[in-house]
Amino acid sequence: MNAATAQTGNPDICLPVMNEQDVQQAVRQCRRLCMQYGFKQVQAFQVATALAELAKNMLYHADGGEIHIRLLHTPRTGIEIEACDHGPGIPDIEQAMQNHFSTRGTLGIGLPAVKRLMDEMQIETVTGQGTRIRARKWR
Amino acid sequence: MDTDSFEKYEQNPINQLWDDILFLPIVGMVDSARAQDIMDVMLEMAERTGARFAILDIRGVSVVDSAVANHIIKITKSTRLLGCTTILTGVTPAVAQSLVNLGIDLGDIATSAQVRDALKLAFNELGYVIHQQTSA
Repeated sequence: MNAATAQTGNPDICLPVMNEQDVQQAVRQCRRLCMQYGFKQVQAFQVATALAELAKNMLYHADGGEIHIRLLHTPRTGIEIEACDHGPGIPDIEQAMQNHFSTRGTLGIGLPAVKRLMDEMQIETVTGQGTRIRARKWR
Repeated sequence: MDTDSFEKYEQNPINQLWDDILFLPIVGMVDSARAQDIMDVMLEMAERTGARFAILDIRGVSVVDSAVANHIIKITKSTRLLGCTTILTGVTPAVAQSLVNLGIDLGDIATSAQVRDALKLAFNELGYVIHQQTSA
């Protein structure tokens, strides 16, 4: 937990993702938080799956990055996953959001899948500087 | 068995459930190294025993994302080349919904929620008939 926690009382967990073990660690934390905050098991599983997709994307395309997990009260209760990296950026978001588009020989379903697994998704990307993806799920 | 091999089997305890049926429950995280180990033990056991069915239970897998699903598809394809058909079990409602959201096509891989149903399917295919003995 970082300084934001002290100010808002809401947990904001920041996890570095540099290898597959980090991904697994983040998935475990995410599932625990979802269950703790009253998400249904199916929802918790969907959020954890989306997190795994985003985290592995960062590993494959940007040599890693950071995952933030935040609880939202707006006043709806939700959970936000934010994935930040300093990789090459996504040259064509529209293309990246197409099913089965991959630059790496993977299944190429990661990003569109995250959109389906979560309720909201937002992508900010700057070529050569990095990518920030936020995805939210409401309880 | 060398040390590496021993650890592989320790973490992926594959069993011969019946003459022609293997059973492997997967618990915990599946990264690419673990997926390779699972493929190794499945192929080694399929070759050694000549089993025709392998029941792969994924109930205990922490997350089934597209990479894990891809590993599972590759494992089933490779064992099939040895004449061993994989039946995927432990597909919970949460896993099923995530797989649909991911848009993953498991193709012609047989799946079931319960290990029991997979065992019944395998017995049926192998021509075994199970019946309860009536007490005289």
